Amino acid sequence: MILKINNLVKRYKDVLAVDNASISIAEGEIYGLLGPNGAGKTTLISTILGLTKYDEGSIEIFGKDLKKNEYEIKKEIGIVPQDLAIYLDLTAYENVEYFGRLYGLRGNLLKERIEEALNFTGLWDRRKDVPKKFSGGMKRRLNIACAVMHHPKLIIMDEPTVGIDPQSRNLILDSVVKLNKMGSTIIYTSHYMEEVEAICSNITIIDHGRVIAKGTKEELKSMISFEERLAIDISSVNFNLVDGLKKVIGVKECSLNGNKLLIISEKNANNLSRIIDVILKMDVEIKGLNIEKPTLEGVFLTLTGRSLRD
Amino acid sequence: MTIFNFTIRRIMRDKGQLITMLLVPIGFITLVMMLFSGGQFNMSIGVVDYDNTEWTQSFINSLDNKGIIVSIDEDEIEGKLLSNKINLGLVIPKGFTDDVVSMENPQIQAYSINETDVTVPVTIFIDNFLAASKHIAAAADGNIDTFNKGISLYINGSNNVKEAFYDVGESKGSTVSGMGFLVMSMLYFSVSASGIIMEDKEGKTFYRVLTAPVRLREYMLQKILSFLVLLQAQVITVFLLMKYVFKMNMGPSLFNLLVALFVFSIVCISFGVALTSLSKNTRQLSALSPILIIPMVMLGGSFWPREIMPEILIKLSNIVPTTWILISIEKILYGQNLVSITTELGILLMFSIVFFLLGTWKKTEIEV
Repeated sequence: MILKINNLVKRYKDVLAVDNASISIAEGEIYGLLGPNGAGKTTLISTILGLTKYDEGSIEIFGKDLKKNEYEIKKEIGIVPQDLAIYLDLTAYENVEYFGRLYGLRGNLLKERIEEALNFTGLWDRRKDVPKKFSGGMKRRLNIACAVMHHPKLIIMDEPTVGIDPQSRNLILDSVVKLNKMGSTIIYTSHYMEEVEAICSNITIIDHGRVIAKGTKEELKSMISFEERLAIDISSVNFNLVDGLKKVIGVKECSLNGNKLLIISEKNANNLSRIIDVILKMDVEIKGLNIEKPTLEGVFLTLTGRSLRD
Repeated sequence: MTIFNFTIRRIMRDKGQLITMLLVPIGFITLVMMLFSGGQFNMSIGVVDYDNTEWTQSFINSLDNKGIIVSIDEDEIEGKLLSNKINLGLVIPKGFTDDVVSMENPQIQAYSINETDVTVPVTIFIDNFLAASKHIAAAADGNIDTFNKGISLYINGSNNVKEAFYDVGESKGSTVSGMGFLVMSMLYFSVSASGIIMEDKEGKTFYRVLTAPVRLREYMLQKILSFLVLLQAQVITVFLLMKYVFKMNMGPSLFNLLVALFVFSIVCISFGVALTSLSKNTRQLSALSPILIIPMVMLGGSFWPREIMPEILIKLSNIVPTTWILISIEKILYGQNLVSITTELGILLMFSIVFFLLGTWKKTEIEV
């Protein structure tokens, strides 16, 4: 195991930020850490990086105890922080050089690695520019270049795609897969379940500091296969509608997102005609209907009763 | 030394920092020079000579190049000082020369409204003249002719004798004022430079640096070292400008001034670090710095001599570091050595310890 967290507890006064979390990550994985904002993902990462002291439990990275070998362990970790952590007054080249030097790279090796990291993120041609002139996506890519240039064994990516355009997001997701193929183990945190679903092999879902589920994508989805999920596009919103649908036999959960109704129903409840009836009786027109396959979003919704983006 | 090198690089690229570092002190010193050269100050010295000997005449003549000498009566002194007709009143008592020759310790009484930059050089000159006279009296061994001959040689004569006493011929008023503004700029620059730590925290690079194999103390040490180097660069640049461009009188020992200002730069940095640590964000830091720095430099005597302030403010000024550096600078400018300012330097170091403790008192955990 490249990372082993056992019964980790972190408290901020009365708030339990990490509640008895246990996670094991094998070498070579892209490991997804999924949870809504404020679930405790960043606290967990700060703890792994030795920035936040924990109250109970233990953390082992590369088979070494973090508390005793923090300095040594950090040399082999790369972090892509949630917020852009680059110097806006240094050029792209200097930014990568700075972090390379902090990891002990010097001379020709340093130069080679800077070129490699900037090429990897597609920023070599803009190396002499300061990030002030960059788009959001380019800044995010520079954020990654600074994290990977020292060839870390473990790369932690904390919400690396927040607030960027779809093209840059795809580039970043591709680069995550490439980095993994090049030999790095990756911890990828996000509240975008589709990203985690696309690239991660194993996933842990966190909420309120607790690990509420973990396993492969398939294992997690099988947890909710005893339910049916119905997505209905409607013409207008009627606030009595949700209450009316919740009363239908077999309906476990009903939520409204814009003009889209999401209904979770017990499997084989045979209540579809009754649901349609309730909607039509309220003078709401049905524009479309889709019976959804289980997703990680669905897993989260089932386990916590709320959406990942809440 | 990556953090050290890159911090210097970043500060030197920041126009705002460069303005605070160099343009502000240079601007103020230029202003001071314009004020000092615009109206050449001619001091009036009222002299009452009850002794009226060859020595007292020599002494009065030697004062001639320090200001306009006016012969007055003793009872006129107070009125003329108050009406600003004279700036300094001197009374040479009867038998003064005999007392000097016989190696006693006679006193010339000096009157002024306040001991300002203008009168200080003259009183120091008088002290030196008396000290020289006593040396010559000792050599003359009570012989008045030999004594007068020695005094004459001292005034007119050989370079050997002249060099034994440092030059107080030029007024150092403009230098002291210039130093006052340099001290103010050092404080401003150190707070502005320390703000880079705050920027790092706000920009999250602080957090990122600490995820690398870098300890918090290494980070702080390299930052502080870079600020210290830049403050020395600021001091040296301003010194060179004062000495070679503005031709200011920098006193007998530039080295001693540099040592004193080095100690003060430690105070400035600790002050900047404390302020950075206690401020919530760069906005608060920018708002706090003038609120704290301006009263400090006003009380300390950067804008005017401390002596002209009310007694209560003079007492209050003892609790600001600017007072102690300006006292040290003034002492050095008027020829005193480093040993004579050890108390002031000690007090300055105490200030820096207090500020560093304030700066490190908060937070043991890094906030992400």
